[in-house]
Amino acid sequence: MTDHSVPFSPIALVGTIALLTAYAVGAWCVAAGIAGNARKSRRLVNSAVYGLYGFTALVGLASALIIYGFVTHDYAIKYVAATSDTTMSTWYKVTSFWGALDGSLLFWVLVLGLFSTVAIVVNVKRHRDMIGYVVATIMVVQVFFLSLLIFNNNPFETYLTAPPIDGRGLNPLLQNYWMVIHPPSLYVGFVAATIPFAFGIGALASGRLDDLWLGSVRSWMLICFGFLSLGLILGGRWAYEELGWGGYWAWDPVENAGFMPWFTATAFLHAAIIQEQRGMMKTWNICLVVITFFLTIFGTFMTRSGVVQSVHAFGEDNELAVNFIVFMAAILIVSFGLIVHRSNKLATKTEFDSFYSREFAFLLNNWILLACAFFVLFATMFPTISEAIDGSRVSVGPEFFNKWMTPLGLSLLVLAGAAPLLAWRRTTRERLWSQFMFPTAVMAVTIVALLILFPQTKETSSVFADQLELPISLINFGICAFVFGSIGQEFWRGMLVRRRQTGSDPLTSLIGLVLSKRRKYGGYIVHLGVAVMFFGFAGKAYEHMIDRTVEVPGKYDARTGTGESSFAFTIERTKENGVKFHDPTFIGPFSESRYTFTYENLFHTSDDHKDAVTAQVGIYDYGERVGTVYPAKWDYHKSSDEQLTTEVAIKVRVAEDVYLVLTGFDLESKQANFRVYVNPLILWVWVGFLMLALGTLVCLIPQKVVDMMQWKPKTKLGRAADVGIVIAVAFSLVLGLASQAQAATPATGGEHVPAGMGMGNAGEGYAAQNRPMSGTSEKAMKELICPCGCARQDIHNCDCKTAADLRAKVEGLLAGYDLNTEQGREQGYARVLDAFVADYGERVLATPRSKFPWLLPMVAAVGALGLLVIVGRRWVKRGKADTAAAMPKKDVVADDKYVDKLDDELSETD
Amino acid sequence: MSDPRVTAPRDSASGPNHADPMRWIWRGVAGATLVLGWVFILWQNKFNMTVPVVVIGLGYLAVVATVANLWRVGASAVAPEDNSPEAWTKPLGARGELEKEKKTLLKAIKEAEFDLAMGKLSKADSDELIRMYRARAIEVIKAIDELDAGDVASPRQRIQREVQARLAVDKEKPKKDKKTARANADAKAAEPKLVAETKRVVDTQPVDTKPVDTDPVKTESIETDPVRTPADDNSPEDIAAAKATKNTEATS
Repeated sequence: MTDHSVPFSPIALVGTIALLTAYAVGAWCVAAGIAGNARKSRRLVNSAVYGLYGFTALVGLASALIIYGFVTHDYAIKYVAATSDTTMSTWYKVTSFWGALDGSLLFWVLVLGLFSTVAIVVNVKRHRDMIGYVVATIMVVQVFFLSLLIFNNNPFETYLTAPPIDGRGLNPLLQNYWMVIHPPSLYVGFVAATIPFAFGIGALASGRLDDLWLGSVRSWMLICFGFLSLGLILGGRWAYEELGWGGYWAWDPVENAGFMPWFTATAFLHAAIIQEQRGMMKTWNICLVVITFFLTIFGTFMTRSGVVQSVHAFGEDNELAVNFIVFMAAILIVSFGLIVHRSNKLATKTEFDSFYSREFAFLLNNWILLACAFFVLFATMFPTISEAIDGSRVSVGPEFFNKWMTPLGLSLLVLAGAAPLLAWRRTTRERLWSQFMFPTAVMAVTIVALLILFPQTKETSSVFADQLELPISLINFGICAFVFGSIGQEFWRGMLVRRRQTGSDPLTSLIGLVLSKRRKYGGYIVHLGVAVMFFGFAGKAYEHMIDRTVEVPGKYDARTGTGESSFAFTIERTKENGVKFHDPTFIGPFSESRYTFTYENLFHTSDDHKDAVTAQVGIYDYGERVGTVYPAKWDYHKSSDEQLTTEVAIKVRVAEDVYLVLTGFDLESKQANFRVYVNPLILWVWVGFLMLALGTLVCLIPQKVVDMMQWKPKTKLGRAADVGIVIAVAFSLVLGLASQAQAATPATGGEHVPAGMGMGNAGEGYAAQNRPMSGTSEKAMKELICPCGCARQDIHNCDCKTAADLRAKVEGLLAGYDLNTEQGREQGYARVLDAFVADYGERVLATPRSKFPWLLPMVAAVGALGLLVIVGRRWVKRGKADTAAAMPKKDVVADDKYVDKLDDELSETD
Repeated sequence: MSDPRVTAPRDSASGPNHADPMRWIWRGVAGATLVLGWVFILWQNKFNMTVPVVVIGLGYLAVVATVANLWRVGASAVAPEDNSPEAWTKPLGARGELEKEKKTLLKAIKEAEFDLAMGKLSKADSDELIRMYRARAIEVIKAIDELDAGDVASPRQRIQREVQARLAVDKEKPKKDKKTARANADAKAAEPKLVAETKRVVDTQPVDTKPVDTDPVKTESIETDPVRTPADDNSPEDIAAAKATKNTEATS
């Protein structure tokens, strides 16, 4: 007899059956793939291949069912009830699929299934001698994730008692359009790393370690690189728009999880070219493939096990953590075991003709990228490591990361400009001079011009340690100019050579150049994009922020520049820090008092699932109104905590973003508290990414497409139309991105929001309370992480009450010191830090005091560099000797017939 | 019930692309099932294309794909073994490998000329590289011509030449460790055996074997990188693999 009080969901039943069947099919694929390849049984391998397709179909069925559950409000399923509600828009209901742990695991399996199906369909004939192992490797990963789903986090689990009438709704922070596309793109990046790994293991297991394997792997790694880049930048854009702290990157553990495999994937893409050109570094390349895959799994482990604390993490799950640890150990043991087993086939003679060669620049690039990956890994895990060692969880804030990653990033940027100028094998001294002269001159002119026109670029910041201060932004701008010069020269000279060879016009020559050498020039476009992004990063040093409380909305008189509700954007700088001071008479893009804001209205609206309090603010630039923006606070009815979400308003300009946050309000008195950031050059971070994406796409254009484009003769009008289309597409992309950053428009509707939200007892917003009164207090506040737990912000930026109180405490501690003297500032700063460490422990510091985190990366980085130099000298010495011995003393006398034939073939080669 | 060995659609997942007269019928049946199911779903929902209808339509597609593929999993597992050489070897064959190498060399020569024109390489360096690439390219073109003309050596000559080439490479190869040294010793010990075996193979095979050599071991022995030495791809395991392939050829 059926008990009708127990909820029954046919969707959940069929979904669970689909997952269980997929599990069995996956296990069969592993067994059949390995046995088939090992025994050379084609029928078993075919069975495994079809099993993989069937597995994907089953996971697709399960995914369709869970989405169907979301859109039809089947709240008998716990996961559906926990992450959606009836008032959400259909679009967010669909994206709730990956909004929490259980669904995100299923989504991972689905994406990997789709990707692996494409990869196998494309490569099944090309790599028929290893495809069984490839399928088996992919399916081992799939079975692992599926086992987590089935045994730990089944998204089809139903309530045993009566289900809720409505769901709890999706986390408000995730109800953002960037969040709709950010996780899938990052997942695709993670998942794409599985395909090269599977081919790597397939090649190792079958012993087929020739270049054919490398060709397939490189394309998939490029896809991995492209999607990881997309995921990271979209995550940054989401943080910029949704979290309301004015920035886009804070070295959060979850952000770092995506960044680590990005470094190693980039390293592989460069090292693979060395293998292709010189036949060296086979072992290194396969190790990079394994490490990249390992880091994607490690990143997933970090975000889903609770081993690190993050605003993005899914929460603590010890059982899941143990499963991941076992799986990661298995990956390392099997992969490196196979590498050792095949070491004789992988062994190649590594030799370089000169340090001044492209291959050595790539090797250096690999060293820096690996150093970046392992530094980020170390620093991200440091709180966990410190807790395991002595029980105290030491914090590692963004400042610590920036001190290390800035110089490493700039070193990479130098190589991005220098490596394209070097030839393979060796570059002679005269050639070096002719290649480097123009880019170096561009760099020198840029630096001098900046020093004269923008003296504030001299401002220094510390790298590696507090004691070492350098004008990082100036260096950054200089290196960016070097890269622009270098890549520009490459395109210009290449176009001239192409023009001489083909006799076509400059534009056709340029397009022909890029299309005929897609990987090379696509890579240069990526380098250019990275330089543009660094140009945008440099603006961070000139970011300004103010907090203002405005009593009542009113009007601003643009003619007189006054108004009771207006406030000007003024940055107060003191002479106390010496180097930080800049000439107040100077008027430029970063100068003071440029913007005036008028608080014009505050209104409360409501719809089915949220209440919104929106301020209307007018922005004036030198007295001229440039726009109206609507910063807001939203209160979701179904939100589990009482936290309001911040809806920032951004006025995008070419040189800077004006970024407004409504940090507090009082509905009765209409008093409002605003935080304003002026973020110079930030637009260029997004534009740079678009260039990077374009370069990646150019690299991925198949030869067939190029052949198709070349088949018909083109008229001038047709060529002009083609160019027009390209420009229009690029322009639309830039415009599209910029248009997304518009101010939030006011919502419509009713009553709900509590009065006085975010305002202190004194009627003033917390964010505006106790602002720093001196450079020393500002420096100390930026070094102290707010213990309230709000997204690892420092007390200078955090807009909570705790931060406001602690700012007052800092000022109190500094009261007894003479901040006009160097000694007084140093003693006062040390006193503040000591007092906070005494009260909260070392976790309150953004930069750990312990020498261990400082020394370990330094020792590792310097040690690796030293090793590289020593080994490099040996390789160069060996290379020179071998080249001398190998070169024929005179031309080989060849049959004229074949010489002519070769010349004919060469004339037809592009 | 029909025997799946007979009715199973011919493998198109891998292996040779044999024409299977049944495959279009199977595809037609699958397509018709899919379309009919979708029409039924739409009819049930009065032809209102809502989000749940689209999702359930996709779910149905997944069901059809699942059934089709799982059936092929079983059918492939019990199908007769495909023992043709193409089932495991690289599909390119000797000519394909040579063409690939030629293309790489032509590109390398063009690249060196381009670097010279760009001012990256000195004239001396560029000439040196181009001379090296051209010499190898001419050898490759010659080899392709020989293949095209069918003027290949007899199997006996080819095998003997290959064994000699490998032994020469093994002699040059530095003895890195005990394992490699031992492996070399094994390979040397296997040499008379291998020669004897190749003799047997040649004796048992007709002289007019197909001119295109699809043996993966042999094709790999053709250097694909103009700068590398062939030492990378000629380990003792390759010799053992060669032996195994010869055995397979002999038995088939």
